[in-house]
Amino acid sequence: MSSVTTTHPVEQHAEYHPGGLLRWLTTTNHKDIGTMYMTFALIMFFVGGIMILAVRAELFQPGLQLMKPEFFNQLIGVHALVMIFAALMPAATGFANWMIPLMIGAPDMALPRLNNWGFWLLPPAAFLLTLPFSLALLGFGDGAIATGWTFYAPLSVQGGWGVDFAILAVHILGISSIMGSINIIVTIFNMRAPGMTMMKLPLFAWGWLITAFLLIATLPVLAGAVTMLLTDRHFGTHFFDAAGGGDPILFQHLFWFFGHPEVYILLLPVWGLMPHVLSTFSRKPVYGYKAQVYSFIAIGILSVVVWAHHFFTAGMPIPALIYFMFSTMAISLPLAVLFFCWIATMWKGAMSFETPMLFAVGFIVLFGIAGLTGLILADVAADAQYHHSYFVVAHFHYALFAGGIMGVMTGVYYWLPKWTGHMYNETLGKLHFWLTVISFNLTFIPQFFLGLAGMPRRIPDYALQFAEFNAISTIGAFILGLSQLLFAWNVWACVRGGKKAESRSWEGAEGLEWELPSPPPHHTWEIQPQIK
Amino acid sequence: MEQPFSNEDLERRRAASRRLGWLIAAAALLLYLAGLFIKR
Amino acid sequence: MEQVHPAPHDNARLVRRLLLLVAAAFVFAFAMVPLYDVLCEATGFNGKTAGGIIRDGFAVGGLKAGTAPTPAVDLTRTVRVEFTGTVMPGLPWDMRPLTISLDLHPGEMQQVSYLVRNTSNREVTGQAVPSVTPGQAAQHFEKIECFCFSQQTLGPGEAREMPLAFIIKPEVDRNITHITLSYAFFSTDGQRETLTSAREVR
Repeated sequence: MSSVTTTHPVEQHAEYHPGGLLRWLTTTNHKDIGTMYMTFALIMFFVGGIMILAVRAELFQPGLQLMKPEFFNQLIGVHALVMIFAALMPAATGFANWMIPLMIGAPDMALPRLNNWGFWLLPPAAFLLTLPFSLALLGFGDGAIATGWTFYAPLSVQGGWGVDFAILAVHILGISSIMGSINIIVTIFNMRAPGMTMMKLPLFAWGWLITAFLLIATLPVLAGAVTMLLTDRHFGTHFFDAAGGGDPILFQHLFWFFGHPEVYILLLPVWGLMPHVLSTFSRKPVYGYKAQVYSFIAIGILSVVVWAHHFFTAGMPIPALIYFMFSTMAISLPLAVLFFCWIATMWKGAMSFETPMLFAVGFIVLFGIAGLTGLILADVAADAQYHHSYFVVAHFHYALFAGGIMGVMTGVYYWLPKWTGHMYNETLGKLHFWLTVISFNLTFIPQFFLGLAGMPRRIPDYALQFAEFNAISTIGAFILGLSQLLFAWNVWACVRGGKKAESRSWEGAEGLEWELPSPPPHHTWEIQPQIK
Repeated sequence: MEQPFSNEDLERRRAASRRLGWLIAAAALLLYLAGLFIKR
Repeated sequence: MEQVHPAPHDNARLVRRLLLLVAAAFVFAFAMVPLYDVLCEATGFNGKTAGGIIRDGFAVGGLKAGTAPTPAVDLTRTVRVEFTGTVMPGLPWDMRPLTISLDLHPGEMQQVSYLVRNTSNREVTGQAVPSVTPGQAAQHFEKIECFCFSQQTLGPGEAREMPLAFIIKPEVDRNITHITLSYAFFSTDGQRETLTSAREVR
């Protein structure tokens, strides 16, 4: 995409480097902060995973075996909040911190202190979100938020103080994400290497740029909605309270005005990194760079005008239903362009299938299923049947696990040699991929059929005819959860040692980050490269 | 890095991905055509 | 090489602009509240009915002021209106419509009533909130007199018939043959009951 005329500028600054914990608390280095984001995301991925394994264990058989319905409700809601706000989003921000400065030839992020603050808001927020569980164990309150992650009023207005904790946590997580987004936008706009025009920007940076703008435009709306919820709960307002002239449906509009772009906030960084991986292992340039950039922009714009398809069944005039149906379906057009570009990048390429490439190809196939089932749900008539069933659960896990988490894993395996300076264990990586893909499908394909057969989501018990598929799904979920230990082990082992990685860790890799040694020194690109 | 692939190997892989591409395209076309005959 | 340090850009200016965007988005969330109400009343989203009586900041009707009943009665068709009602948690009442359903011609005025009873031994005040299904019919459902126009207070154990007079305007779409009018009765006394404090909900 762009050629470079420079050798690596490696020059260690003589500056104050505290050791131990203080180093991590005070660091403003984009690589350190990126590492902290990724580590935090990995830990929270397991926290959220344990929660949902408890849910799947309860659903293994019909009837109530392990927990009360109240606790079940808390687990599903906090699982979603943790996975979205504390695992996927920090993982994407971790990538941005680590890779954007390296890829655009910038010495660091534009606002390093803000960057440090943005990260250190996350652990307290995650603590607040999960604290009510421990408090309930000690006999205080009745546990975490039990409304599901969507906070729907009036249930959230009536719920216990787990809701207050979750509202506060969402506020803090939102502030953190907005600070991260501002930092990324400023970095991309102001810190690019000389000669790197916007249309030479790596696609990963483009994906993140759109994500950052979406976050800035929609997260404050969520913050506003949960603030109204808070004042409804404690300060006598009636935003969502029909008795006082408010309207609970208004909450759904506000929530999903944020909630739908959120899906693309989670996925755009992944769509951005995908072409880099595909091009590397196909030993071919990225196909359709401009088409992909324009698709990102189109998806970003469309994502804020389709929110009401999440609650077709809440009641809407026919013209509104039709508008939201067609605008939702319109998103499939730029997405189809992306799929085409990914496939065309591989076509006629000399493909080899190292772990990142396996994850990338697996991502394309499984994320395709997410897109196609999404089209079914976008249909107003069909949605009346499938709304709030396990079909929806399976659909968005294809989008957010196969699209989001597997996309993140693609990136981790791809850039791990760059970050650590070691090659990870390839055999273990391939084993992890196959176990993940097989058990993921074992978990969620049965859920499509459960949904078609009418099993509602968010209910701890079910009718007898759903027993077999739920048992299969639970077995799949446990294999899926346990196989992720392989991933954690592989990453850990790779950090500790392994075969030395070259600066261009993959044969076909292109881009500024591969001009730097592996691992890159603490400070990089202090002399910016000249892009021709 | 993995052991670098020999030139013949890379050429073989290019041919394989081209063939597979056509194969998938043909399968997609067949599915599309089959869909035209499904009566509701 | 060409440049030792990145060109000095005005980061602060870009940050200020982005913060402005954040603030605008936050304000937008609150602007949605009145906008949404206006939109709902103008179009009949969510079954908010027309009528135009606004009292105590609570919009019972729509944007249109209450007009005199349209004289024309459309005798060529009948519409079936069904009545239902729910008492929300926290209000110790029960209610039932004395007329379950009614066939009428669009344009003719009808009167029905609900029987509401206070099951507790204290005086309680409640407010009924109406909703019309399908939403497209809401703007043509005009209430002349309704117990939902004001708060109702029932003494200990008191039961009362609460009247409702209404017209389905002849402009209502011909495809609409069934209309459901539903009331939710809320307590206006004291604190809103929460699921945690109301143990009986468990």
